[in-house]
Amino acid sequence: MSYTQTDHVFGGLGETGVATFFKALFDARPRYLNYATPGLAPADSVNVTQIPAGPFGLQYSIAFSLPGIDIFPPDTGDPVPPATDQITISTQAKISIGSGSSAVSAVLDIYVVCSPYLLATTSASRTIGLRVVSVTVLNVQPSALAAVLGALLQAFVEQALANTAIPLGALMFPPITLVLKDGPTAEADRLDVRGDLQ
Amino acid sequence: MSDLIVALDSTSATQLVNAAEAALGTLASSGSGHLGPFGVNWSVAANFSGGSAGLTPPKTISLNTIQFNYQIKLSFELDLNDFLPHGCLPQVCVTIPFIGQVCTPKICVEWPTVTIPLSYSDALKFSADFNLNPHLQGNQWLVDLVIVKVPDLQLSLKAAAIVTALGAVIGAAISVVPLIGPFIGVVVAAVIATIGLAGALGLLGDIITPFISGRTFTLVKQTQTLQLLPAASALEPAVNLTIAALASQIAQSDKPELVVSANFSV
Repeated sequence: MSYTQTDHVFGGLGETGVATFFKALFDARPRYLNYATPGLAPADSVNVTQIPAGPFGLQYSIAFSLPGIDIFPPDTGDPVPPATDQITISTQAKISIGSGSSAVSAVLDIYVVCSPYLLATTSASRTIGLRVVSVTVLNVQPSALAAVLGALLQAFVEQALANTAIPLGALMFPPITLVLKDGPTAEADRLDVRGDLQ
Repeated sequence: MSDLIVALDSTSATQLVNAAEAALGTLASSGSGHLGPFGVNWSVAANFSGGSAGLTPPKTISLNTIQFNYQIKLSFELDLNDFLPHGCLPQVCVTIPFIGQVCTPKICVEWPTVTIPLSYSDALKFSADFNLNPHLQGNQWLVDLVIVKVPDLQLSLKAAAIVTALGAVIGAAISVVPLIGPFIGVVVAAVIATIGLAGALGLLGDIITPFISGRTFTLVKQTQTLQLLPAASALEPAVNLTIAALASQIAQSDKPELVVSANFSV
């Protein structure tokens, strides 16, 4: 099957391309991966996004590691495989409560299943967003606790993904400009878009 | 698998080629040469347009009926003495009784040298195979199309048209010469015969062929550093990727496609 299928122009960002995009993004803007309350991070930190303190002045932080990417069809051994038109993002979340010598922390393996969608509709700024379908926390028992942690982390994951929109223009080489007709879709280990040449 | 793949079928590849032709803009050149026995100075402005792209694995794009539009300006000096009788009638003296010697004046006929200007526009259609050539030039990745060989440009009809146009401009240019009226047709015919189709063909080939030989069209022009996101604030600097490698090929499945692929580094 051709890349363009019934359309005339195709752009596909592979798993390694998405992973490299995330690395470039989070290297440049690490604050998208790291969140901490005012007692743990200043408001103007380049590395950490400041979030409000918890109830009773609770100070805590959540830091995600650089994510791994698995686009449908699933890679062998992926514990949370992506279904059709889905992407699984794997990362570790380090949750810390308190500060200094009294701080406690835990590192959780989490798997976020997402589906791609067109985030911005104006042609000049079209971007591909990732909508969270589920957040799974592995190796935590009982399962009810894992579910609670998953729900807690989902809010942070959605915030992180809100900042990780992939510009559609980055999937083309100038002067090739896409008039989007189909996609984005997660298929063949890529994020694919198709359409006509502008 | 490549980090990024961009593919175009023959429809969009044709659009891309046509855009590359437009981006190339107007080309200009000038020089001197020979139009038959005449030395000429010439200048030319030219551009490419149209044509359709046929895709052939592994790296050939055939451009069919691409149009080469050109405007040639040339001029040469025409010494009319080379084509008309000239010289002097000798003085003749006779001795007449009771009058003495009577002489006719010496009569000389010298024709001027006339500058013949020609401005001629035409278009030439041709088809040729081009090969893909992806390469890094400075800080830019380029995917160029490079012509494989100069096709038969079939210039004979174009040369014949130039000869016809020359006949008209020669007639007009020499018509201002005093006393030449009865000889215009003779001069035009003689000059055209001297130049001949071969003379026009030779000059036209010398002028046009360099525009076609080695012709390159740039299909893709991508800076090596790809800015994904501009800087939004002091806390959110620009996000860049580096294109470490870029390749291009013609791939064939249910339809042929121009495929450009890249691998990134941070």
